[in-house]
Amino acid sequence: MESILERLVQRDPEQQEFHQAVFEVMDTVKPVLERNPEYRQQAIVDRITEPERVIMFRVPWMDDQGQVHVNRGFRVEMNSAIGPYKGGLRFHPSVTLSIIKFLAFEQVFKNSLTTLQMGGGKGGSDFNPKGRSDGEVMRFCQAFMTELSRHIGPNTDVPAGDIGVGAREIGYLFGMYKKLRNEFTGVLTGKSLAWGGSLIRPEATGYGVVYFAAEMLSHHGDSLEDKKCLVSGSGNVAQFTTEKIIQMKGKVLTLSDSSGYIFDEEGIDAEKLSFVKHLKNIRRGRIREYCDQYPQAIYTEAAPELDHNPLWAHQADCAFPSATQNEIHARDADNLAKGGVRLVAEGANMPSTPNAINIFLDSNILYGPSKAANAGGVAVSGLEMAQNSMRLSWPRKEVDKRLRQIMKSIHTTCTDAATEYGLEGNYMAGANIAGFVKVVNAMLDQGLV
Amino acid sequence: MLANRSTDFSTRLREVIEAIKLVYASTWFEGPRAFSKAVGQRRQDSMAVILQQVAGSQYQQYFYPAISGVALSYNYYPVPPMQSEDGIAHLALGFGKTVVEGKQSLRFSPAFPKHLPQFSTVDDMLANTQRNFYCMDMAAPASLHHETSNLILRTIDNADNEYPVRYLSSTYIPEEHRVRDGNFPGPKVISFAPILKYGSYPLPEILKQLLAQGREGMGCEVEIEFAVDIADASQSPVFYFLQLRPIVSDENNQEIHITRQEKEQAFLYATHALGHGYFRHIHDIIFVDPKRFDRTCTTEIAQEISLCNKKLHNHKRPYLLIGPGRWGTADRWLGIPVQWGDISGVAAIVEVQDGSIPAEASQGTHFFQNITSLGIPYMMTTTKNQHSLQSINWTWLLSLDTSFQGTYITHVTLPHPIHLKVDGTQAEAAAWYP
Repeated sequence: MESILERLVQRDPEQQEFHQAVFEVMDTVKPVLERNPEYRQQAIVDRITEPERVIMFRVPWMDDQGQVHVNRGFRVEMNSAIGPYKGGLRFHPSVTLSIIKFLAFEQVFKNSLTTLQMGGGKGGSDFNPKGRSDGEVMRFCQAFMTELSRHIGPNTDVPAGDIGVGAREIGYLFGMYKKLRNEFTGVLTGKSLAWGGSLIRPEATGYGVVYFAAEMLSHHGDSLEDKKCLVSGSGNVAQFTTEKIIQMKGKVLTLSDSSGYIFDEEGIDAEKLSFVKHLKNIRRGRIREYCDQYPQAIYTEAAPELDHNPLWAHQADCAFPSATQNEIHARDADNLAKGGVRLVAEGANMPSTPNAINIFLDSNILYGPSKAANAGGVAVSGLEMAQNSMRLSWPRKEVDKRLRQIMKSIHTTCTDAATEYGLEGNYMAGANIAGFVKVVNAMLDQGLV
Repeated sequence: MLANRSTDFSTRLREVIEAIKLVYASTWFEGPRAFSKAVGQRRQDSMAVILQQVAGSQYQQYFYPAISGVALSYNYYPVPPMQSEDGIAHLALGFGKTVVEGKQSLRFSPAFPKHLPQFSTVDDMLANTQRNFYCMDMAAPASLHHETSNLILRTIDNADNEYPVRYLSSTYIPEEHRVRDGNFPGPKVISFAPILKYGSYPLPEILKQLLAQGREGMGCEVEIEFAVDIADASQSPVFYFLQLRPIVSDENNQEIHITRQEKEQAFLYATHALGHGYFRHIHDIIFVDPKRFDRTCTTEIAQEISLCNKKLHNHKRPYLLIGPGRWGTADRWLGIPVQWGDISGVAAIVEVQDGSIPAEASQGTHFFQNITSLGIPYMMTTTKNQHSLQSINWTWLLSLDTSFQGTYITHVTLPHPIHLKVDGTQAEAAAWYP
């Protein structure tokens, strides 16, 4: 294994981001490689770390003043063993081949875990959309798609949005693809609802994490009903996490923002959540204003000098970190364990530090890692592809039902893989192994291609 | 401001007299006295009080102008493609107190009205859009405690059926996470799109012309205050040219010239600098040692800086921050991903472009907004600049006694303040330790 990784570094010494991603994944799947000699014999690590195809191209475009600019475009088609390449496009000045390869590599396993038929890819450009006019962004998107359109298609490669590529850019890209290929197909996801987008996109991550948590509890003969839940954050993920917990008869006690958090012992019900949505989405106020409206709640100012966040020190049954990366440190994890929490499901991306995760595992807390628990967003992208293929737009209820089914499948996949490798209850290991094994087995099934 | 709505003439007269007294008394406040001193006025100089009609229209019980703003003929923080000479304007809905108090207003260059760095992405738009505005409550009794005591603050969503809000808004569509220009059901985003993007009223052209004429007429850079009344679709908008004056000439806006000698003795020299002024209050420097820098550990570096910042900020010790890549980025591969709270006590920032991180010069919007509004100099250095002067003297920095040595960052405290000159007119900066 070491020699393979050494070769990887020697071959592209400047691609540090990509090396780091490969090292992290390979470290977690070591037991799988050790147990399966076929993987070694078939050089699966060499094959999975080499993109199936790398497309790099010139993107010339003209700004509003008539000045010509040239950017570089990328599409890394990493792996199509389980479906068409699928992954976002990023427009940002930091974009390099190494960054795109790193993101494409991670995408392969993320997509695999959703149990949908999606391979992995990523693309983008070093174009900086900040401060550009709509016209300039449109001309850039059209120039970008002029080349990319040769390489993508609804059954080949289906890009989506990412940093710098939102609904506006997806619209411009889709329009140019349609014009060049003279076909209206689901070649991109993240589209507007009127022309092929899917419902439940804003809700997907928050709803998904609660469905995953419900499965974790159900696996242990329990449910979310009457469970006291700590939720951090008050943005999109936290709001829809709270909404789904309320629908599943749980009780949310906390919400937070960067200034502090509120604790409402009576629980945040649908009416209070509606106030929070208005406060954060429309008025863009601070969460402390919740206490002006509901005086029984207690507001605690953020205290960065503390080595812990008091939000996680309340007595509760479940925790849903939904604010930001690295928000749960070792002391917080200790407090959660002492406070009776028996489940942590991550809505934010990697909100728990490695030390905190070890404490969860040592304390027998059910720990749902972000790569599995917050896969709802990717899952709904897959559902958009499915709707486009059928030329149908499912109603909210249908998409929601399928999202729940996908989260249930992800849960089963994780637990089965963990059990298979003697790591029962370790969702982190289960998610890493399951994502990897599904892809490499598909590669082996399809022969040396 | 007076509503002037009493039917009794003597009441209206009394209110006007009180208002004049209030304005006269306000010249004894610290701020106006400092301004007078800065522009060379003396106490003996005569003073006039001008009565102006308040610009705006009434919507039910509230009176306000659709747009108010300030425009400057010189921009010390130009972001490409803007040039400093293109000037800069700040727009807000309602009375101009929003702009004067530095609340959420929209910043744009009259030469490039479609280039809005504050509104680059949907998230930027939601974060930076104006959410409150000032108007006069015509139903409330007049109360003149101070010059703006008749104004009240209303939320935008509270006025979304009033014409100025409908006209100047775009709409956020949560299901698609996009902002559509126009008035649709959903939360409003004050984007000024009909004017800035679609040219339905030639405000940028008017401002360009006034700034050019003002600069020519006064022989210096100028600042204007203006308002636009757009009562409803059937009436033509009315532009109110409220005030023209030289750009305030306080210490940080004086003419700056960096001498050859200062450049030669500088430990920091930058040919890409934003901001303007001569700063002599910085005793502390936090820098990321290039030898300790690890591109894979930028999150950890941000945490170290945050801890150091907290200590210095609590002790009210502004500092110079030097490090590689883009400050304020959310992308850990592009620079050190600090948020504003992590460097809240900073006095000046240096972005080192030495090739260790492939990033364009910083334009991070929210972060940049703070830098601009607080007048913090932002300098970019390359390994070698075009004048072959050393951009950063690392040997000197590394020879200093350290107050704190972290895994990645170094904090030094100097017995005397450094001297930092930023010449916004030449985009040049130099710092030296005398």
